[in-house]
Amino acid sequence: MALTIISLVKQVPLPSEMRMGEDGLMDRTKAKSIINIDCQFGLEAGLQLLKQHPDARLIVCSMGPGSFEAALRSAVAMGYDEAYLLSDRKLGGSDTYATGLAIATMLKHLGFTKDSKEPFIILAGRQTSDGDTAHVPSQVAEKIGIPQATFVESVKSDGTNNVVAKRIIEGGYQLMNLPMPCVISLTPTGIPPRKQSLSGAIKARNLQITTFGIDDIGLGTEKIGISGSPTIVAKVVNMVSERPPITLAEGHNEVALVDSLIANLAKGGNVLEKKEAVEKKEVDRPDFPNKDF
Amino acid sequence: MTLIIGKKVESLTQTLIEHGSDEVIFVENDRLEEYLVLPFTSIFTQLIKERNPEIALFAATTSGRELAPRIGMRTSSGVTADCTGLEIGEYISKKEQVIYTPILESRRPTYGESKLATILGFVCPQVSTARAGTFEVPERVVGRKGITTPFKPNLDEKDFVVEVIKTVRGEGGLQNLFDADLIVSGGRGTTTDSLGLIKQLAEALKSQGINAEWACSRPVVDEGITEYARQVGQTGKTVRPKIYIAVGISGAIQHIAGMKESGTVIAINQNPKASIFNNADFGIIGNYQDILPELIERVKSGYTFGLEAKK
Amino acid sequence: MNNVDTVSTDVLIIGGGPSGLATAIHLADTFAKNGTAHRIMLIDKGSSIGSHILSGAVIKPEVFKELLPDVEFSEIPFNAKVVKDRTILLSEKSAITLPFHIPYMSNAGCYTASLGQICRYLAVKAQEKGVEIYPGFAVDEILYKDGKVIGAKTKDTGLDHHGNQLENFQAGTRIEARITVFAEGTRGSLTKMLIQKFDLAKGKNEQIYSLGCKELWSVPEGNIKPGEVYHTMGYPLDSDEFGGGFIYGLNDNRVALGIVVGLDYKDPSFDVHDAMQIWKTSKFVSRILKGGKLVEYGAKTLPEGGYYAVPKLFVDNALIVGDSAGLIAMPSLKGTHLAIKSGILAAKTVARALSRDDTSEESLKFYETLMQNSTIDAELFAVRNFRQAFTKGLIIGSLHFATQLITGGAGFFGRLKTHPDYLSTFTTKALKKKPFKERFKGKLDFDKVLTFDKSTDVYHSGVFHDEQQVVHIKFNDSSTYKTVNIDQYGAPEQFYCSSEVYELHTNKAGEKEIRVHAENCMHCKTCDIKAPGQAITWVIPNGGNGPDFQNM
Repeated sequence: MALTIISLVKQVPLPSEMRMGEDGLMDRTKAKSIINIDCQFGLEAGLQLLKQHPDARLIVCSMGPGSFEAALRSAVAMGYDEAYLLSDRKLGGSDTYATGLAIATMLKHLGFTKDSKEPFIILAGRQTSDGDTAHVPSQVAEKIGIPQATFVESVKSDGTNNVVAKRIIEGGYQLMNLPMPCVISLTPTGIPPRKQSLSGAIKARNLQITTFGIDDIGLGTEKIGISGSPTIVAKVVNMVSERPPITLAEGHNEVALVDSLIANLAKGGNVLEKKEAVEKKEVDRPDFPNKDF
Repeated sequence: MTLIIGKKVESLTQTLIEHGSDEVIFVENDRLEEYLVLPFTSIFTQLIKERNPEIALFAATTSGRELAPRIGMRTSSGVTADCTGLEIGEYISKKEQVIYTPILESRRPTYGESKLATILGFVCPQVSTARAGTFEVPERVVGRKGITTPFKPNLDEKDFVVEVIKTVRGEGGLQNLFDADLIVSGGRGTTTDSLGLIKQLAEALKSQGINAEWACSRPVVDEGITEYARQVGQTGKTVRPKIYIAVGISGAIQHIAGMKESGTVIAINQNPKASIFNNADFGIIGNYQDILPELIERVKSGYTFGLEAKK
Repeated sequence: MNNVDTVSTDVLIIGGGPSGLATAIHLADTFAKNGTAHRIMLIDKGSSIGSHILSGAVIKPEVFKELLPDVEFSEIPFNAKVVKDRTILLSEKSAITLPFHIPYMSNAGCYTASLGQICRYLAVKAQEKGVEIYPGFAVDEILYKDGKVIGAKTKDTGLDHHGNQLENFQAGTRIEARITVFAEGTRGSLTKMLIQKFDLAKGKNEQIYSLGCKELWSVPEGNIKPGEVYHTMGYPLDSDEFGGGFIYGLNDNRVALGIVVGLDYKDPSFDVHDAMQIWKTSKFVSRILKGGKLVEYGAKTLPEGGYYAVPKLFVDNALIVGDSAGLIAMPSLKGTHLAIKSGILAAKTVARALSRDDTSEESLKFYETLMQNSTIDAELFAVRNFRQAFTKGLIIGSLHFATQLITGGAGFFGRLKTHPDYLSTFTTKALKKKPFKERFKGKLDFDKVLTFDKSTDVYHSGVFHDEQQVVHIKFNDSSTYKTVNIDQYGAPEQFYCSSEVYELHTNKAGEKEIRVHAENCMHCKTCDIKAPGQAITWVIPNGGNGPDFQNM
């Protein structure tokens, strides 16, 4: 009854790497891709569980374009064994509901259902830095039909089929006991992700990643992609908050620095300007029938 | 209408009505004193089936942010997270040649708050979570009348497989952070003295009659030095005091999201390339253990950052 | 779970700069030609290949044809062919173009380039040829067996500031290799250990270094043309400060510029970065930058000791190539072509050794033989005394150099000696001239348009270091550090450091201490070279840490 530890990861642009292009706009092409930070904490949580279950099978899964293989290889370089990628053009534009559904379908296809004989635990990041919704872990748990604990800082196993999770709540935390199988989403406040090892990187370089399309896992098109998603992004407006460049205090010790700060504050002049970068356009309202729902 | 679940919650229904609910449905159950995602999901879904609401709203708290998507998956309706604006509007579908109206327009900041997206749901109920601190609590009208309805859900024993071993709560809600005129906030760089100097500066300001409070960035919560309720940032609280003093805070984009609406931002950091300096008006490059004692002395002798003391 | 994994390879190359990549490429080609299958593994400490690469650069292209005979020359991402090449005697307000080239400084037929981009290109080529390249790993230990090199080990990660293992500890990997090639670049931290262990610098001159600070700018159309190359002498350097400025016009209205100054300067408060800022305010330089914008900043040291400072480059199972070997030609400060050439020669040596199954020192001596018969030797020998002459100052140096030209490099004496750079620094008391900060009083307020303070420049290097690790700057004797470095020398590290790693802090009581901001470190290693009394050792930080140069 070996345990299977499954980590879900997403590849995102490194937020701090987003450099300004020469035209003053964000140059996304230069932003490096990384495994979403929270997901990295999920990966580490899995490697910590391995200490208590040395014979566990470690697998990492993702959904996205082929370039996400890089994230999967990074996970293997950290210590994971197998990697699966759900990649299909038809998944493009999926909202969180459709994403949760697709990932749950892939996991069920791999044999991880609520009635599995073998215990498993699904680890995920609390949320992604490019979406920030925190939905997918809950949705995967619901779709598979297993319990969950989200916003978890640390997860420990007692060597049996239960885990104890420390869940962060407003003003404190909860300790919860969960039976496996279950889904745990990790906050980036637990044990920081380890660095890759060279031996892991060598293993990752030679790894065969299993890639599924939606047909492979028996996922229909009706509930995925833009058309299958129950929600849509109707409009995006740029927000520009402009703070003028900082005025730094000058001086060679704390007395002089604080004097300088107080003088700068008294001078004032720095104020926040905020505006919507794009003007709202009036759209002609066509003469379509109203639909109430 | 509002749904409230827990132990001895019936007494709270009138308060909810006075704050604007027309109907409060309550589930009274001793086993539900502590929030649990599985039974709560089940109760909400049962009620949604019975009442067929167009919209279901949750607070974007640690419970709401997991409960809403779990419900949204069960009702096949999807969810919009962490909204800062909710409006009723309409959607013109050119493809279907119809106008969806009324429809919930959920607005949420994305890409580190550089963009504001409007998200629409097409399956009822349209589920959204609302970010803490961005919506005002409706004015209380004492004596306001409304309906109170008990609700008896079918509870499945399987939904109680997860056991809460213990719950530890610190100082709780901290409404003060939303009202403070000045917030002193400590980051990873100030953990050496467990935010001792941060708290001292806030206390010194309070003694001068300033409505000041102290807060922190995420790593401080991570290290267990203080509780989540004090955390400012995208996943914590959004604050907008007149003056925000960021001490030892590097300025991760998520933190900036929680404080960038502040009037004047003062950054103190010994790392000159900390990105907080790109998001502040005034700054000092230096070690907080040198700078703060000096600042505290100034405050004790009457300096209040230009704020008027409350008499 | 502290079991250390071991991997084995035929050839391990430490460092993914031009010399390491050339070794890899030529080896892979040779193996392919001979029909032998050998594993070649190349490790680099930068987060990606090229991220720790910085050079002027004006490059002599011929050697690329030798390295990549099957590649169309135009495919190599050089920038622009040199179209104008001037040496300028600079003062604050004037610029006099010398009517001739200083011998060995002509750049005719050369190309301007970003060496980082060229390395990225070479890495792609190497991988196509089957070389395994692993960036993002720091190697901090040479493995020995029976006193012979048998490979190296990557650094353990997941340690706290004191070196204790944390929960996310990840043991380093042992790489056992039949031959290890040290291609770490200037002042390589393992090469330094290797040279010490085997006394490879015995009978050689002490290696001396320069520090180069460089900025990449984007300027308005017309300020400078691609391929325009200027070298400046004079302002703002004193006659006892050896060095000068460079300005290279690149495609797309970019310009690479900076200054390079010998670390044998005397003034403990001299600051190469700040000197560069002052240099930019000269009429000549500021005109080129007018209306432009800073894109990137970086710094590196260059080994300048030349011919007589090149250590023995081979021991049993190991070779040293490129900057680690000190292969830079003066006075043109060109090393890329020599690095590549040395890589090619090392590859020939390694291929021969593996085919004979003899990787002993005796077998690897072939590298020296190849070197002696190559252009490298000829090029270095001709200018063997050039740099040493200038340790005596500009005027005596020029006289010396003139004599050297007549005598074919020998000068007055057969071989001019050097002493290590840290010994050149005077104490604040002993310095008889105005210290740097007084010399340029009023010029050190940087306007953040044309001139930048170090911290702003450092921000433009993309530098990053994991917080969770042992600080990679070691004070060898903290008890004497205050009394010697701070009290007698006035804490020179705050000035010689190119990237604001060292901050002199004075508390209210007037007590002084040095605070280390290791996270700013550009990996230039000046502190390892210049700290009085060799008080500082630069240790390699976690893999993937350091600057993230894009086009340097």
